[in-house]
Amino acid sequence: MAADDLLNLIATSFEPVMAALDAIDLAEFPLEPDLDPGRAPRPSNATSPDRA
Amino acid sequence: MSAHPQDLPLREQARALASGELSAGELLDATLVRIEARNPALNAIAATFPDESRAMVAAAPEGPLAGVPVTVKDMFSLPWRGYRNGTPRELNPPGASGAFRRLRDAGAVIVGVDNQHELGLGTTGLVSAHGPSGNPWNPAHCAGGSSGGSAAAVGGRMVGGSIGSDSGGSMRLPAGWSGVVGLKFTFGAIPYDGYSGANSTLSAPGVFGRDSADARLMAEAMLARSLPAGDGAALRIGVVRSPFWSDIDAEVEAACAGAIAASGWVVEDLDLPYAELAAPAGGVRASVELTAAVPREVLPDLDDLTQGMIAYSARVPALRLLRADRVRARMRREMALAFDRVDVLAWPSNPAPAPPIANPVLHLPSGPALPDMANLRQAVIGNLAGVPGISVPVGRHSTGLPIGLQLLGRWGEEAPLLDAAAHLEDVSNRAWVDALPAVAGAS
Repeated sequence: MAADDLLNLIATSFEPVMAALDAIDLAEFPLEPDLDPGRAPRPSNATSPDRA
Repeated sequence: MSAHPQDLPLREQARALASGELSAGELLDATLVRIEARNPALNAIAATFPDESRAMVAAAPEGPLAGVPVTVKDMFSLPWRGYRNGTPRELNPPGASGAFRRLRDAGAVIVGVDNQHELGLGTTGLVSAHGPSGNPWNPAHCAGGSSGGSAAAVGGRMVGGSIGSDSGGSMRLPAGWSGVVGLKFTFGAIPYDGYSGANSTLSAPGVFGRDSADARLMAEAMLARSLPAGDGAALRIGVVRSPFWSDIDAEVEAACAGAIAASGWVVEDLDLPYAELAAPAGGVRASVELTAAVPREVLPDLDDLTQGMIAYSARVPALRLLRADRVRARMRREMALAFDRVDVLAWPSNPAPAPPIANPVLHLPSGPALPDMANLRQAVIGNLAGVPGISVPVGRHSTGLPIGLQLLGRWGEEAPLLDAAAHLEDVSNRAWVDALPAVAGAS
């Protein structure tokens, strides 16, 4: 299969799922202070003590 | 000792070696013979290296795995072989990766490198420089991915334990399909040097075993700490119906629900707001992170589908990645809130049993579906949050293929997951972990 055709095939498979992500209202997902993947997730989005 | 030593659990192999009933050299030779006999059907192990394995036997220190053969996914560099990540070429120089050092220091003998889905970019194990891995319960079906070879090597009784890696379910998904216990560690739980997952904020190594006790022994060696057994009957379990119990094969759903009912656990229904966005958010992050570090000069050597995935990932809009990270932050917080209320979250590892290699389509209540997105939906929230997760065999589908239940735990708390798995094994009278797969009749 040609590269462009493969790319289209993948996009056809993935894009409908990605549409839900593209449609989110960023206001419902405010900036969080704690997106460090090397630290435990925290139950509060309040600024953590070591970053206050 | 009359039985083939690879029919013994990993812990029994270790005990027999420690007591002198079995020598490490004999065990290695018997393991290589077993691999030679069974691997052609499963294509689970991509390479063996008897000379280097014998050198590890000779140099093995005292340790919990002294002299015990294990295999390692092709994402970890060894002193004699850099990781290839399922591609035809070394992508990293040979060296003693963090995973290698943990195994070596525990006395383990690395007997082979496991086949895997190329670059970890799929959940079937179909795309690999070595060809697809077969399922121990029916080699015409997928072993899973991306750590399918590692799961099939253990499920096919070629080794008692193996090391895998999980960036979007790549341990829990093949464990579910291949009928073994697969434990993904907390993000960052071992040194990441010499590990392809060092390029990803989603990736975590982990261990496969035939049951929870073998997985615990492997995990203690890899984590270099004790994971003392606790009371797996006394856990609070959170069940998140949507999206994780939706659009699931009816037999898979019944087996997983039955296992939870039989456990006697205190069960609480929970909502995880926006959890349906985990799959697209995780999919975006995973595709970008897993492909960004691939050297451009390697691209022509890769499978056409992998090249297509890399091209697709390179076109991800920045705004979509930003949205994915906002969702991820929210998911991490919602998961932490959930673990304030329960000890473990539970849902099916896979939405349907392993599909045929020749026609890799899942048959879901909503209709036929390609496996990757459906599998990702079940698993990647654990990677977004970085928490540990496990898949435990809990049943058999009418197709004869295994069914797994997935459990997620708190950050850094692998032991309660193993306790929960042990309890599930007890209440099922070990029916699913002691059953012999089809390939075991081959030799």
